Amino acid sequence: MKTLNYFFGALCAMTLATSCEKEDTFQKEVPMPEPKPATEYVGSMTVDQMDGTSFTKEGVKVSYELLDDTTMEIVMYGAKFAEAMPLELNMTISGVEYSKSDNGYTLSGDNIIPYAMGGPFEQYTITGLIGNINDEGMELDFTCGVFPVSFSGTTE
Amino acid sequence: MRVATTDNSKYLCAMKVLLATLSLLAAEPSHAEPELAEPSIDTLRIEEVEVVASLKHDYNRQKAISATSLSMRGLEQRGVASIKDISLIAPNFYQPEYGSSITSSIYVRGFGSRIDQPVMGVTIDDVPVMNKNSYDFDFYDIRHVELLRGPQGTLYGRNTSGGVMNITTLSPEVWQGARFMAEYATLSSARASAAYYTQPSDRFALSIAANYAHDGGFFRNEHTDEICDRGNQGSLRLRMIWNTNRRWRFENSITAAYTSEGGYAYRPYDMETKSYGAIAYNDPAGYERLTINEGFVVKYTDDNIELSSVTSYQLLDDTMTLDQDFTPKNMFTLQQMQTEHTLTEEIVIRNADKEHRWQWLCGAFGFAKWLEMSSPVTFKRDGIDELILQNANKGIHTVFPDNNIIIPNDSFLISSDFRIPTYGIALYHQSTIELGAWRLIAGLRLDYERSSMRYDSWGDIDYKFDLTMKEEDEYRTIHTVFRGKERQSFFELLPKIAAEYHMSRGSLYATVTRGYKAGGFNTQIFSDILQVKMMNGMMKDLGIKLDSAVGTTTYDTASATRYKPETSWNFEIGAHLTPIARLNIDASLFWIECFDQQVTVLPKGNNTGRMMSNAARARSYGVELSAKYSYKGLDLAADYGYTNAKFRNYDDGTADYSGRYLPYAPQNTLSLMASYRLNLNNNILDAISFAADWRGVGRIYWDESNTLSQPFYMLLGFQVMAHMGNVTLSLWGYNITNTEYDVFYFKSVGKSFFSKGRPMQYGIRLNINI
Repeated sequence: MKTLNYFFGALCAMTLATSCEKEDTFQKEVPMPEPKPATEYVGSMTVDQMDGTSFTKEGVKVSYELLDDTTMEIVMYGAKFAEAMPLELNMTISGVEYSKSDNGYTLSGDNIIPYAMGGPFEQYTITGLIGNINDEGMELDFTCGVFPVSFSGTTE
Repeated sequence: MRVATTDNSKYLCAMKVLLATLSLLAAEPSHAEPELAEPSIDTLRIEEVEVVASLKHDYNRQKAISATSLSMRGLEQRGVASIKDISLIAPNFYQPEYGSSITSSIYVRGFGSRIDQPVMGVTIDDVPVMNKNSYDFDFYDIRHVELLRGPQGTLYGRNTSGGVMNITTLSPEVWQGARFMAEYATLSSARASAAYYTQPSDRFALSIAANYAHDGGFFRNEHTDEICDRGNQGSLRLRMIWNTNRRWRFENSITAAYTSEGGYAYRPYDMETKSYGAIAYNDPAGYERLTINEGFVVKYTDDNIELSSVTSYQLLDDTMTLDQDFTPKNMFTLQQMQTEHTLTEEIVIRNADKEHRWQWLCGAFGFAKWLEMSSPVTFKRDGIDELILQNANKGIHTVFPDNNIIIPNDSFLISSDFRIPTYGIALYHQSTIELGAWRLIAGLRLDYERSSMRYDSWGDIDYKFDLTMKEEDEYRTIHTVFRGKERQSFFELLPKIAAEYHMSRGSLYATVTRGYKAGGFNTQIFSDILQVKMMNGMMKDLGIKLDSAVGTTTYDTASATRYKPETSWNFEIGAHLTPIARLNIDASLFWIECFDQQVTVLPKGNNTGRMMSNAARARSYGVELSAKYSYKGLDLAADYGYTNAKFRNYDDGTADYSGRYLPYAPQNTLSLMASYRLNLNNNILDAISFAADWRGVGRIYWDESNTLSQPFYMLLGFQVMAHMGNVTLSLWGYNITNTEYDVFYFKSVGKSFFSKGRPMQYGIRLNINI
């Protein structure tokens, strides 16, 4: 019985030591992350109908993901460009350039072919994209095909 | 509520008038006893040998029940060759002939069902037939048929809320010899049967009987230019009876039957022009069925009790193949294959002394069913285009008018497999006490049933959106799976209270009974559910969401496809009278309140399925009148049934049908029969018989909104029989005025279809009994 107790004691000690070692390794290899802004925003998407009116879709969700040190991918969920449009679609804008600002990112992009409905959406090429992301929200302005689009969202 | 009050007052008034009339008729003193019809033909002799008694009751016209009884002679006089042929002979009983042998849609007193659980039970030689798919079989050597109308739940349990039909086959104890029958009818139909009945000793009897029938078919499929409802069926029945001594009796019967037939003679109907199109569909449609029914009955009798045990095994193996759009287009087909094994056991104990003032009966019943079903639906090119892509691209085109979702497959399969075990147990008791002229009856049954459904439905479909997937072979595969298990159980109490008052010229009775139809699962709707899931999966894969769903169905989860039992209370008064010698009159008034009514609904949208739903609350009232008169060789019979059945509450989400008549059930049934037997007794002919038969039914509403209906129509038939010793030669005619009528209506994929009734037919039959 005493032998068994020693065995379990040694096992526990080894387990604790191993845990400490892993924690130490993680601390050494990964630098402390910078304060990361929220990656999902919900807000309104407004599309200039090019006839003097505009269409606003509420509740559009937009997320982003950093691809590398200079570009990110933005995904708009449930985007709708006109009242008469009988469907909502998810649109991915990949290769948006970003630069770090005080508490977030400043965005820009031009001639980006978005990805929607299973493939590249050439006739709705994104031009003149500008925007910024911070802890409080996301602002985007771009032209999709010929339609000027703006998005303003906040974290939920 | 207002409607109900009006109905109630009218009904009560009618009841009072009828009761008063019947009482007057019954109270008249009489010493005249009805004379027996002249027993000269062989079937008459068979009737007299043995009183027909079932496991649970002895047939007695004076009992507190509305019943129609057909003897062997009656069945032959009226040319009854199946349960469907009894339709209209019995008041308020209607089983239209359409589809194929799997279709046993039965309506009694306004209630019935097109699919799943039937409203009427069937027993053959005391063995309950547990699946309505087996109800439609070819009659031969049937000695007696008894239809008990109104809920028979107390003694018979599930699926008898409209009644029970007890069928008794000819017993080798009753008749010995050889019987042959051969028949040929116009439209290339033929039937033949042969049977041998023997009793080598007082204790042992044996019979073997076989039949074959070929239906030439009535209707032509204009697309294939072939008769579509041609068929063949055959069966073999073996029966052995062994009486070991006065106390023990063993009886074993086994019947194997096979049918292979076409069917589904559905013709399109244009609602705007109110015109019928031709029957025309391109894919095969038909039905194949193998049934094996084994029944083992043990009876023990001593001075105090009668103990009976009925054990049965029933195999049903069938395949239904359907061109489910019933058009020449390549839309979609269904093949439903099922194998069901059923075991039943029933034990009944009764008191042996039938003269005792207290008659009692106790019973226990149990069954176990194991159903394996596979229902693959194949969507073909036109179906893919019209049922799927048309909807999907309609939304897409408003934004991308020049682009399409494309499905390259010429066909794709939605596979649905089910395993549905069901078991049930029941205990019941019924007592009858005689108090002078009164007989009071009370009974109660406890039914418990449990079933589960394991479903496995899946399908693969390839697609592309040509705006974004431009490569020629850039197709994506959507794999959709819908698997799971559902279960349900229910418990039912089925009481019965009745009183009989016996008089010199008959009896009056009043009953209150409760019945139910079992609950179940809607396997038919799974292809719809999967189709919707596939389309939604495709939209999700595309990253779009349409404002109006591509496919919609009222039910999109398996749990929502369960349906509960339907229950009903039946209130009835009636009389069995013999006001003058040789004249028997039976009359009844009934009122039925139905709860959780199982109605067949078409889910919303451009869907392909149908399903049962407990969507309605309904009531029915009506009257049944039967009169029979026999004098020497003359037999006259009249049977009339009136039913007023309406929804109390039924809203399917698109319309409120409260107050509308229940569809498919007739409001009137009428049967008139006259026969005369002329005895010649010369060297050539012993006798010649003439029988004329006039059956009518209607009005039948075809839809819940009561916009389409079949008016009342009558069918005239006749039979002339020449009797020569052991040989009888018969000439018969059915619907000799060739009346055109419809027997069924339904909608599929938004289109309306009717099934036309059986046309004029003549036949000649030879019977030899040696």
